[in-house]
Amino acid sequence: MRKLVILKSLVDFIWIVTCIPGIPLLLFFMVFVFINPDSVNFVIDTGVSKTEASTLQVQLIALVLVVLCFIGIYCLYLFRKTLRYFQQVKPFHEDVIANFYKIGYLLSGIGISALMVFFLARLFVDNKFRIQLGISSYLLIVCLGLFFMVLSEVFKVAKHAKEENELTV
Amino acid sequence: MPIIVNLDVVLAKRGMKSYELADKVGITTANLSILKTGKAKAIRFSTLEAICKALDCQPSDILEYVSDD
Repeated sequence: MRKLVILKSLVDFIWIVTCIPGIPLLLFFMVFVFINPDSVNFVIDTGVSKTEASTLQVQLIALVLVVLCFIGIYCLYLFRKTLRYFQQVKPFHEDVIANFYKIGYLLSGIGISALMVFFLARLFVDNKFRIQLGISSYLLIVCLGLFFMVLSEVFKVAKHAKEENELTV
Repeated sequence: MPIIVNLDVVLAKRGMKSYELADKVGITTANLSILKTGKAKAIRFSTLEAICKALDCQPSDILEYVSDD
């Protein structure tokens, strides 16, 4: 159980240091991008070239990225909640299964959306059709999301087996 | 579930209380209650054997199959 305590502490640390200050900062960033975008030169770095972006491009990409960030923060919140159930020795609670499925679903969505955003950014900013194969962070996020969904199914089966075992006289 | 447990009927016929049977069989009264109310998902052969021995009956006296339709 010491591993669980370490994991919970680490997740809490990330939550307190990154997510809690991140929410108002992201909101501030959004307001800044939409109200006064001309005050700062935004540069879109596609990995190939750096291009000065138009206001509309910046606003669109910023909006998508901030939404993805908020979904990521929500995933971490759900993970913290799930770890709390583990600490209470309720690993087969309905919420744990639902949370794992939700986290998986959202992470897969984040991975695919981020992949699409950067692909489209390259296409429209650099005018280059580029598909990057191999291990990219977005594909890893999609894999992580699918792993959480599989984990949810495994927990569902385990819960059923546990109930059956408890009701065997 | 189409399997009906007639344990209470057999208990009444033998004039035995639930806690006495639980004591003889070596299971808790809570587990016996699960069995009596039909909430049990499975029964071990060892438990069935002990119940039949304590009540001097056959497994068919305790368990009955009734079709769903």
